[in-house]
Amino acid sequence: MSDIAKLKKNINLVFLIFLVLNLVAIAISATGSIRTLYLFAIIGGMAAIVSVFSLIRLSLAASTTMVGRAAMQGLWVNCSMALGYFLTAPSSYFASSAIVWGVGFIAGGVVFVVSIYMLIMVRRTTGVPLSI
Amino acid sequence: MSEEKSSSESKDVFGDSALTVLPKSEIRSTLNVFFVYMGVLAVMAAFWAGSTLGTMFDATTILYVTLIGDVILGVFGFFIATIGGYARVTTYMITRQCFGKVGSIIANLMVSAVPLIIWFAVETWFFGMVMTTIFPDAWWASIAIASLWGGALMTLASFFGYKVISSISYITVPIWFVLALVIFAVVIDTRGGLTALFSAVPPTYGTIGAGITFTVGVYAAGCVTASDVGRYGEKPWGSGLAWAIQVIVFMTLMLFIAGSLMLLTGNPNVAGAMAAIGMGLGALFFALLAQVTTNDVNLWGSYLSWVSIIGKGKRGVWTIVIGAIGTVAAYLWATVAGASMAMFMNFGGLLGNFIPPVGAVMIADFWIFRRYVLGIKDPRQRYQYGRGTKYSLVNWPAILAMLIGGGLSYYTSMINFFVPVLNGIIISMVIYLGLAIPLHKGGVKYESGTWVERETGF
Repeated sequence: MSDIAKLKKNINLVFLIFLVLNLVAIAISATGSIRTLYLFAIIGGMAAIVSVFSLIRLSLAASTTMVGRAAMQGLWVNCSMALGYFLTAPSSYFASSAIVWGVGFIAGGVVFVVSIYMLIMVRRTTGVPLSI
Repeated sequence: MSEEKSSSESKDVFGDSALTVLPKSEIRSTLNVFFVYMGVLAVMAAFWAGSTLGTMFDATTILYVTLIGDVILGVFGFFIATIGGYARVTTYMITRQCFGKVGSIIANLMVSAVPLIIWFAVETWFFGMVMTTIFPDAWWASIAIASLWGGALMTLASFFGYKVISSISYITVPIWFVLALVIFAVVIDTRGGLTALFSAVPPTYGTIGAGITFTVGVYAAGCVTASDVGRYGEKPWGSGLAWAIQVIVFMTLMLFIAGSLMLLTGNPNVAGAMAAIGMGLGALFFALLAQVTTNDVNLWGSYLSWVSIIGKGKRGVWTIVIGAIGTVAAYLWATVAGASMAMFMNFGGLLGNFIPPVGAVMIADFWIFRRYVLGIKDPRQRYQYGRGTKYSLVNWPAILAMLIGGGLSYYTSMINFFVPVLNGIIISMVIYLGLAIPLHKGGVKYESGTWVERETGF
């Protein structure tokens, strides 16, 4: 399997994991306050939509550049949305159980760290610049 | 209008192709261009601008006023950004074609060289304002001190150029807009809902024309310099579309949210509202990112302009010098004006009068004069650059159109006639085309002097 084919497979897996993590975070938030549910639905929902959109773009990508570009842009947005779980957590307005925020932190933390790692990997393998 | 075909390509010695045609290797996706534009929009000043509208109109009128103003900005900027997409050069280089070498210096001093430094200072001052709201007792968060370290941070981002600016925008813009929507929903939820919002009224009503001119004014410099970013777009029309969508959809949304916050709470400080509900870290991060993604572009745009005017220095040197000037100006502003908004309101109005006429001449020259009078059908062929290219020093119809259009726009804002910003745009186009077309067809010389482009693009 070539480096690009391997990368494409890994990126697909990463976006699938992101999708599942965000959906789990939304589902768990339903056990807390309605405000947290709305918040997680916006943050996680946006990330989930971008992950699905990125998976479709990757499946249609016919060249190394197209794979790199679809992966980069999807990873950047996921990385950005992941920050939302941390930035809103201390708010008393969104008061919810520790379990809900714990899941949010895990989802956000994993997405953020993996996104950064994958951005570097995609840059190295495809040659597509980070600022594509 | 007197340029000849270039004899050879110029060398980029000033960084970020400030005086040369952008090479293919630097072309970016339309999404990249969109995110950089959105990064400029994601700024605390947008909330203050919207809050100014909140002191003049009710919520429904704010929506109308911002939508009309943003459609003007969107359509206007669409054509300007697309020029950049075709010509692949900065705003300064475009104005060199339609205003002449000396004329372009005057135009750029009005549009970007000076206003963008002032914007940098304003945004840095805003950053200080937000910091002091979130951390009222911390010495390092006083308006003046926070302006100093905030300005230094923003200068650092711009120091590394377009690549770093666009990367920062990718990570900050999505979450910034989500947080803005979240805080808007929180305020609506805790302040009586949408019924309270749409029944709230300002202390006194302003005129619709003044509101539209103010809306256009706060983003006029960004609009006329849209080519600086638009030239990076892989599809020329894509850059224009990216500009139009971010202005018409997202700027309208931002201004409406800010105006609504003002009507409901009397305070447009969205970061302060976030801090009030316990999102201290989020608020700090929000304010920091908002200012960085905008101010680095202000600084970068000003550098492109100054290096084009002077023809010396590199990006790093220029950004440090301009950043230092802007930071000190913000510090002095903070110590003199404190938290007063009066200067900001006057500044926004003035920009709305004098900057759009420059863009009006650019549009008239590229899309009408060159296309239909000179008969150059291919947009890529309308402006040519490179060593040996000849330009006039002054294109008199363009200069006259810019100055008279700006003056009339200002005058009509004083007597409340129609929409001042539109008056300026229409008058400038009519004067330029009304003079240039008959003079050209009559064989009358209306340009003075000649400037030959050097190897460096200067």
